[in-house]
Amino acid sequence: MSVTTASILRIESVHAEPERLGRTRLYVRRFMRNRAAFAGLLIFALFVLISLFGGFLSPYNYATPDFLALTQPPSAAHLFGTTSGGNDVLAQVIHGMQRSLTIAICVSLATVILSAVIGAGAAYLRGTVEKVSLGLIHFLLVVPSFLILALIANSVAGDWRVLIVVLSAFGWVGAARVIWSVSTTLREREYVVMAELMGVGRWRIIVRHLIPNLASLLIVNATLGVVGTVLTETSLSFLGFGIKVPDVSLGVLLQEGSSSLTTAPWIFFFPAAVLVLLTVSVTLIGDGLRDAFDPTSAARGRR
Amino acid sequence: MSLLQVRDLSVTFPSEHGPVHAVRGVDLELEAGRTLSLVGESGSGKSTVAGAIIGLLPPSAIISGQVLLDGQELTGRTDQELSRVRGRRIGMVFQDPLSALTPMFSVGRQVCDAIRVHQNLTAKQAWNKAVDLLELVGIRDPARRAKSFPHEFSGGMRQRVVIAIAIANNPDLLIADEPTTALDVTVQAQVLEVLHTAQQETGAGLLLITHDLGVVAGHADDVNVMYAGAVVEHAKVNELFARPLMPYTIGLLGAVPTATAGQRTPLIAIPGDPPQLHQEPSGCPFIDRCPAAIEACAQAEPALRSETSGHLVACIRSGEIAHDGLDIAALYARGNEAVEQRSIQHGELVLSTRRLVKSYPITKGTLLRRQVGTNVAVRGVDFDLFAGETHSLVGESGSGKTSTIMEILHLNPPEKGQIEVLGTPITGALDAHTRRRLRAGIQLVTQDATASLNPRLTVYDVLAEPLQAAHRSRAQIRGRIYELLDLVGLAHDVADRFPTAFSGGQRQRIGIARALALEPKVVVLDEPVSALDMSVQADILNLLVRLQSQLSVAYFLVAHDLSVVRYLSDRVSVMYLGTIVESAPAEDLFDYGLHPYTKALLSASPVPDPVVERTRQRIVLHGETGSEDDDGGCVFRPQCPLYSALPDEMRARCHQPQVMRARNGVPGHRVACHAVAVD
Repeated sequence: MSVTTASILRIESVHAEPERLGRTRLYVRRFMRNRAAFAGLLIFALFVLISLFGGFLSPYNYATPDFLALTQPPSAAHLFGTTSGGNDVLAQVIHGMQRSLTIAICVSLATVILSAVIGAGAAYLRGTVEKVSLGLIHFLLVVPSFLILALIANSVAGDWRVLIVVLSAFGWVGAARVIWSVSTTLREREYVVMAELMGVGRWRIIVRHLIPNLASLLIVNATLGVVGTVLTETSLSFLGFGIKVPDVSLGVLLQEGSSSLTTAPWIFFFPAAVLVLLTVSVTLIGDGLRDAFDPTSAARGRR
Repeated sequence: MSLLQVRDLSVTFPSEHGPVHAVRGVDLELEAGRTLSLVGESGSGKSTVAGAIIGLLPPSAIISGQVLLDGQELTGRTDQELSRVRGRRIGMVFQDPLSALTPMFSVGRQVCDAIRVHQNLTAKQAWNKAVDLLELVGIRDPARRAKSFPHEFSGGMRQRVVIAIAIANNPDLLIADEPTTALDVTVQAQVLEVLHTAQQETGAGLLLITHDLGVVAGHADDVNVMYAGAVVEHAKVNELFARPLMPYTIGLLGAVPTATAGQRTPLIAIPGDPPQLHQEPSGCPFIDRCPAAIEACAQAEPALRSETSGHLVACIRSGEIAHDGLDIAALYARGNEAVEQRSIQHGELVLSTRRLVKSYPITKGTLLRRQVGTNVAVRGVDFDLFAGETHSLVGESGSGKTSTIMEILHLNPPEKGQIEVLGTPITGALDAHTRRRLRAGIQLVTQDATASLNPRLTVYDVLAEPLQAAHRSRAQIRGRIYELLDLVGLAHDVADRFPTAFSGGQRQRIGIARALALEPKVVVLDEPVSALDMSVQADILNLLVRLQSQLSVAYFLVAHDLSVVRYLSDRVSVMYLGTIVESAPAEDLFDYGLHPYTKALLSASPVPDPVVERTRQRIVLHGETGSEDDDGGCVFRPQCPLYSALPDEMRARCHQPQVMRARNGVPGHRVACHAVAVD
């Protein structure tokens, strides 16, 4: 079976396509063909737009209470209702989403860069560098990171910039382990050996030959990292360790809403719905990207 | 009635770029006891035909037409029904014997399984039969070896086991898809012999799929040449090689570097690439590459029709070719003017090794690694390369060729012995300047250009890499890249494209251009054409010859294909198990090779001429490389055909270290065997 499939793949590669598709265009086409992923992308794009330019959707400021409307259900004046302190839920959700997304995107970018450099660097440089990096990775993997996160985040009193640094510092570990193991096969590739024989420098080989060939893995990691970070940040804030009032994130809103879940469900419901939609959409995007990059799906083609 | 009949078989695969018509209307007919060969280059659809016959194509494949085995229809049957036919009535041998065997079970058990699936035998009976089968395919001491696992076998032995499985149930039809492509030449000769025995033992018809015209010449009765998914020529083997009628076949035969030619005549390189099979071709699919194409060729795809009795060809001009003296071979553009085989002139010595040794530790245990032995890959190699010449290293896998070149290329002081590159001995750490100079002076071209080019870099970046590493300025790099593209015959606009956009031959050109970027004195060619199709291979060989005469660069060639070696080399050294057993000027070695191993190697190398191939005496080696303890004597002794025939006192000398003896009257011809005459 493997032999025949191999020969078929050979046909694919030998016959350069008549209308030449670039690699990127091929991925885009495969991604777009995946309806769920495309829907995820639309929802996510909508959320990003709202959190950037959503201020006009609500005339209220998220931190300025309207003392004439405490704990109001959704109405024309307050589309998502108000909290017990008189804050407009819509304005709070928009701001909370912005805060959560900013943290998530920054952390996921930072972890991807950290994990790529450390993982690929450890694999390529070998020797002591590899031993030390792997030791650190394995140590951090067994440490109860959420607990440490909570302690540190609590002690810095809810500054979201510090939260980004702390989340990044613990977030890269798992991905770096995977990237290391993938890189151990990449470092044996012939083009890497050829580059060595041409006298190309070691960091140059890492940056030019290893990391670009991990691109698909890194992109998927970055996408799924966004979900992970949103959830971690939300959990931290929900437990009271992350973002602190008056600043709000989705986690803070959920925590606030949960105390009045039976009497004023809208305070909980709207941030929860946004959180669910956000994580589902990003997960769908991540799955879609993974399928699009997967070379084994190449043979499938259009039905 | 014929054993196997294939009628109008077509296979279409869906792909990202629309359906691919991989096989288009193929008819085959095979009688019991005969061998039918399907020849073609990669992508010609030959393996897909085999897949369609045995029903092993992916479910997405759309198959039409008929496959009849003894008149019974095979197409359209369910997988379950076909399973009863596969293995029992049809035996299969694939290219890669490693992936055909399960690493978890002993080989005997796997042969047993094959027997018991289809025959009602007890475990004991099946085991005995398995042992018999293993003996039949030439595995010595089969009762004991049957308990071994696949990883304890060499590639050739594994392929024998696969053949044993294929014939386990006395099949009527054997399908062998590139059965020896992954094997060394001497092992290939053994395996082909076994396949032949197996076929005679079972009386089965053999469908032999290969790209190697030498294998076809030696083993096929009838030949079908495939191109672009269709059969374009069909004839008896002698007829086809003596009077090919299809321009494609003529081109292929002219592309083979003939090992018997004294002069280095340029090879026929069929221009262009095979057509894409996304649409059914409207005219002859070979039209763009054919030197004799006329307007009528574009009108309709020519049908396969009989030109002379029993000789079918799909070409509208076949009549002219057969009767009116239309000489297609002369119409093909030859790569370049005849480059004469040069006599060896001693230029400066650019590379030399003396008593070079390289060994690898064998370690055991995962937690506590301890060294349990040493594997000596290179044992005292003396090798000289002079400016502007080609010196080849031939030998089988495991003979230490690659270890030798890597030891030189890494520019690290050797474990033992000396290496001198461009007059600089490699001892201790080199200073950065010397290292850079030597790096620039010796470059590598590898077998698989696809693997050696980073898929994420454009051609421009690929070619810029060695120049950047040598600290050239941006402007210098730019100018040099376009020079290099001219040099290897690629258009300037390819610079912005990625390696995946090119065909195999074009990629190898890029690899060669990169190796030449820093104007090296020495280019190491590690199997430079063995991954390429025949027609493309000729193109690259022509290029290499032209570049050498243009740039007077020295080639250090490592290859297993002796016709390629003979075509390119001035001097050849034969390597066996880490030692050079014979070294001589190329012509001398090929015509008067002295060492028994050299003789076996030369006789095992298939020649694309059925008359020569079937009459010559072949020395088939027995046993396995390095199967006896190393006592410092001749390493070839366990396999040597001379050894057992020697008188006792002569034989004793085989156990002593062999010295290189010069052949009288031929300067530079040296052989490491005490038992052969050197007059």
